[in-house]
Amino acid sequence: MAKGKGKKLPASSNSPECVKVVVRCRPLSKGEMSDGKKSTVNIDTKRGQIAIKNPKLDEKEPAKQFTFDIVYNWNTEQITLYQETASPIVDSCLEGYNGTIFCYGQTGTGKTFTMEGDLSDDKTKGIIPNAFDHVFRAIETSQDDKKFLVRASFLEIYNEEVRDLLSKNSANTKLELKENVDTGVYVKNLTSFVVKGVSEIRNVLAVGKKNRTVGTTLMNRDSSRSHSIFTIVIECSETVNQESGDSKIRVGKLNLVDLAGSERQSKTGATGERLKEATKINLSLSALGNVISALVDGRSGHIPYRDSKLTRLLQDSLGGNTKTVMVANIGPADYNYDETMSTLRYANRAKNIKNKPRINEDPKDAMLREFQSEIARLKAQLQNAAGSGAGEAAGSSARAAAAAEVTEDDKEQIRREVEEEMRGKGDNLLTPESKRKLEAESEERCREAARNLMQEQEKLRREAEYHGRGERARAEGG
Amino acid sequence: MTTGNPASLSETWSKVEELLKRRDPEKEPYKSRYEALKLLRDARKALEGNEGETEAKARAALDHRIGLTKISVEERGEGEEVLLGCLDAMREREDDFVHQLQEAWNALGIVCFERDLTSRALEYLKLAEDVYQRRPGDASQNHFCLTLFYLAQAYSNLGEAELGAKYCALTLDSQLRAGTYATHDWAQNAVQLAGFYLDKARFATAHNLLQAAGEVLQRGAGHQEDSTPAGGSEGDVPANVSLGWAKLGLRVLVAAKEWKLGGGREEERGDHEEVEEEVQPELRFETLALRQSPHLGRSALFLDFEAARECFNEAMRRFNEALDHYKLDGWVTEHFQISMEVSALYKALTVFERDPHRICVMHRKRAKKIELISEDLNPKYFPSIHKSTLLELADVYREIMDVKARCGRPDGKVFRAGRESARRYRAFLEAIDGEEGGGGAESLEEDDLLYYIKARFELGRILHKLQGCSPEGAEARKGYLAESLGHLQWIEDFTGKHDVEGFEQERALCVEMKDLLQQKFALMSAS
Repeated sequence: MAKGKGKKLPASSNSPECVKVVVRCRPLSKGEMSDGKKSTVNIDTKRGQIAIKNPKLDEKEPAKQFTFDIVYNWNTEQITLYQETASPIVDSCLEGYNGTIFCYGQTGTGKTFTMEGDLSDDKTKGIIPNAFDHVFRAIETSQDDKKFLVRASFLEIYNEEVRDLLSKNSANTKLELKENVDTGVYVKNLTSFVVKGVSEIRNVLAVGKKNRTVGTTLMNRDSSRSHSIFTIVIECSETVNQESGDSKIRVGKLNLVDLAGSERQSKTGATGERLKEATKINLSLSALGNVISALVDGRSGHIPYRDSKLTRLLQDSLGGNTKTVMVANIGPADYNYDETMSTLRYANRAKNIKNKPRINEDPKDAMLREFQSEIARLKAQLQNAAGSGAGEAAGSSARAAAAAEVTEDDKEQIRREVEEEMRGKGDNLLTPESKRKLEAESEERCREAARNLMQEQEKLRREAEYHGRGERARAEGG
Repeated sequence: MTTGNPASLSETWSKVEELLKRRDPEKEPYKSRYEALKLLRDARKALEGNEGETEAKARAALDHRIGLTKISVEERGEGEEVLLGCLDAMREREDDFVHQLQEAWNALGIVCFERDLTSRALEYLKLAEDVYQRRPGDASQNHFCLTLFYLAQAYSNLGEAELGAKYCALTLDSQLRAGTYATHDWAQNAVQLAGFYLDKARFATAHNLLQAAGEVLQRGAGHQEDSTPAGGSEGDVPANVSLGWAKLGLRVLVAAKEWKLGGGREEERGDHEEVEEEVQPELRFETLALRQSPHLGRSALFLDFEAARECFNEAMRRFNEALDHYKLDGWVTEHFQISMEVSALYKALTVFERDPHRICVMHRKRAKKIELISEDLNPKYFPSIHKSTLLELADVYREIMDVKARCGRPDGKVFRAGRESARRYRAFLEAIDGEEGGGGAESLEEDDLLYYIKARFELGRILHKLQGCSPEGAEARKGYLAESLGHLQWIEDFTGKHDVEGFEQERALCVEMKDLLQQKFALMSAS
C-alpha cells in the first residue's frame, strides 16, 4: 500500500462525539475605550478563526490562532446567536433527544449577557429566555395528537459537591450523584417542578438564582467558581393509534450549563478551594489526588475518584447521540490577554471531550497471527479442494506444498514483536544479554509458530478431505 | 524623619495580618490586599536609610511580605523582583528567616511554573526543600509539605514521572508526620498512587501503599476530619481500597500469565516484574508501622495452576468487596468497570488451565457478568459502556469458539459460540455506524478506529468459520462467506483511502485473505 496515499482522519466536528465550540467576543466597554485600551483580538467570522496578539510581546510577534466552529464578534445580535447556535439543540430536545448548551467565560466577558441577557427585553434576552420561549411556542403550535409535559430543575456544583437550588435548605444539603441502568445519571432527591408556561419557568429560574446568591453569602462561597445546570425535561406523548389510544412517549432533556470561569483567585492556597481551570499549578493540597491521578495512566486503570461531577452528569451529552455546544465568551482588550488565552485553550480542549469506551483486549493482539494462520488454512483448503478430483496423491503433494513453513516475513515479524515487548518492559536491547534474550525468544516463538501451523495444516487436511469427499460425491452424483 | 519604632511596626503587622485574612467582595477581590500593601510599603519607606541590624531585619521581613502580597494580586513581575531583592538579607540571617525563606522559594517556584519555566521553578523549590532538610527543627512543616507537593508537580510537568510519584509519596508521608491530613483523602490518594507502582510491576511498593491506606482508614480521624470525602459517598474509599488490592492481584496474575505465554523461562522473570529488595524510604510510611510486604525480595510470579487459582481467589474476593459497595443500581459506571476487570481476571486464569472444558466455563463466567449489565442498560444514556459490553462479549464468545474448534468439539457447539460472537460484533459495528449525525468509522479517533477495524476483521473470520461448521443449508453457508468477504473488502477499501498507522502488515494480509476467500466463494458457487 502506498504511503501518504490517504489522509489521516480529521476529527470531524460534525461527529456526535465532539462538542461544537462557538466563541463570542464582547465589545470594548466605555471604560476600556476611555482608558485607551486597544483590542488584541482579531475575529474572522467567515473562517471561524480568532487571532490574539500578546500585548507584552513585540508587534512583530505572530498572533496565536484558534479555529472554532463559529466565532462571533461584538456585532452579533442575541437572536442571531440563539438561532444559529442554540435553536437546533432545543429543536432536537423537543423531538426526544438530549442536548446541552455550555456557557463559559470570566465575569465581565459577557457570559451572563449571553446566557441570560436582559430577561425583560426581547432584543437583548439571552439563550435561556429564548429557549423558554422556543419550547413553549413549539408546544402551543404543535398538533393535537401531541401532549407535552415540561419539568424544570436547577442545581449547582461547587467544589465537587452538588446542591439543589430549588430546595428550601439548598445551601446546606449536599446531594448524591447516582446512576440508573435505565435512566442514566441522576441527582438523588433533586427537586423538579412541572411548568406550564414561560412565566412559570422564569419563576423557577428566579428562585434558583436567589438561592444561589444566598448560598454564596451564607457559606462564604464564591459563586463565580461554581457551575450551575438548569435542566428542562420535555416529555412528549404522541398518539399513534386513534382507536386504541396507543401513544408513543419521547423524553428529551435540555441542559443549560453555566460554567465556572477561571477567575482571579487568592493565591494563599487555603484548603477547599477549587483549582483554576487552565492554571498550570495546583496550589492547594486538596488537589493532590488530581496530580496523582494524572501520573497513573496505565494498565492498572483508574480507581473511582470524586471525578468531575459535571462530566458525570453530562456524560450522555459528551460522546453520545446528543447535540452539544459550548459558547465561550472572551473580552477584546489587551489586559484580558491571559484570561482570553485560558478561555480559548479551555474551549479548544472542550472540542475533544468525549467518553472513551473501555476495552479489555488490545486491538492488535493476536490479529497478525490470526490473519496468518487463517490464510494458511485457506490456502491449504483451496489447494485440497482444487485437487479433490485427483485423489489422495494430489492431496499429499498439496500437503507437502503447504508444509509448515515459517516464512522470512513471519520470522521478522516475530522478532519485532519480541523487541517491542522487551522495550515495553524497559529493556535496553543494546546489551549483549538483551540481544541473546531477543534471539532466544524469537527462535522459540518461531518454533512454536511452526508447530501451530503444522497442527493447523493437519486439521485442515482432515477438514478438506471431508469436504473434498463431499464435493466428489456431489460431482459424481451429478 | 520618622523612624519605624518597634511599637508601630508591630501594630502594622497586626493590621496587615488581619487585612490578609479578610474576604473581599466579588467586584473588588483584592481590596484588602491593596490596603495591606499600602501599610507595608509605608512602613518600609519609614525604615529607609537606617543602618542598624534590627532595621535590616525589619526591612527584609517587610519586603518578603510585600513580595508575596504583590504576587497574590497578580503583580507577579514586581512581586518577584521584591522577593529576589530580599533573599540575600534573609539568607544571611537564616536563623530568623527559615519560614520566610521556605515561603519565598515556594512562591518564586510557583511564579516560574506559571510562566512555563518549570526547570527554574524546580531550582527554587529545591532550595525550599534544602532549607527544611538542613533545619528540620526550625522549619515549617506546612510550608515543607507544600514544597513537596509543588515539586511533585514540577517533576511531573517535566515528564519525570518517577520523581513526580516519589514526591507525591513524600507529600503523603509529610502529611502523616504532621498529622495534617483528611483521612479519606489520604487513603484515596495512597490507593491511587499504588496504581502507579502497579503499572511498573513494583508489587512490594504497591502492597505497602495499599496497607498504608487501610491503616489510615482504620486509625480514623486525622487532623482534618472528613467522614465523607467531598463529592463522594460514604463507603467509597474503603471500597476503593478493596479495589486496589484486587487490582494488585489482577496485575500479578496478568504478569504471571505473560511470563508463561512468553515461555516461562527463569531468566525472563525479570521481564514481567520488578522485584524490590526494599521499599524506597519515601514509601515506607514509618509512622504507620506497617507489616512487611510478602513481595519484598521475592518474585511474585508463578506458572502452575494452583498458585494462579490462589491469586485469582484472593483478587476475586476483593473485587466482590468492591462490588458490594458499587452496586449496579446506583453506580452503573463503576460496577461496569470493575466487572470488566473481573472479566480480565478470568481471562488471565484461563492461560493456566489445561482442560478445555474448564476454560470454556471460565469464559462463560466472564460473559455472564457482562451480560447481566448489558441486558438492562439503556444505550441512550450509556453509549460508551454499551459499546464496550458488546465488544467484550464478542471477544469472549470468539474465544469460546476458538477453544472448542481447537479441541475438536462437535460443529454444532463451535457454531453456536461463533454465532453469539458474530451477533455482538455486528451490533457493535451497528452502534457506531448508526450514530446520529453521521457516525461510522469516519467519525472515530485513531485508537477507537483500530477496535472498529478489528471488529470487522474478527467478524469476517468468524463468518468464514461459521460457513465451515454451520448445520444450515448451502445457501446460508454461502451467505456467511459473502458477508465475510464484504467485511474484508471494506477493510481493504477503507485502509486504502485512509492512513491507519501501524496497520500496513495487517492490511496486506487482509487483502491476501480476501483474495483467497473470493476464490473459495467462486468455487462454492460453481459447485
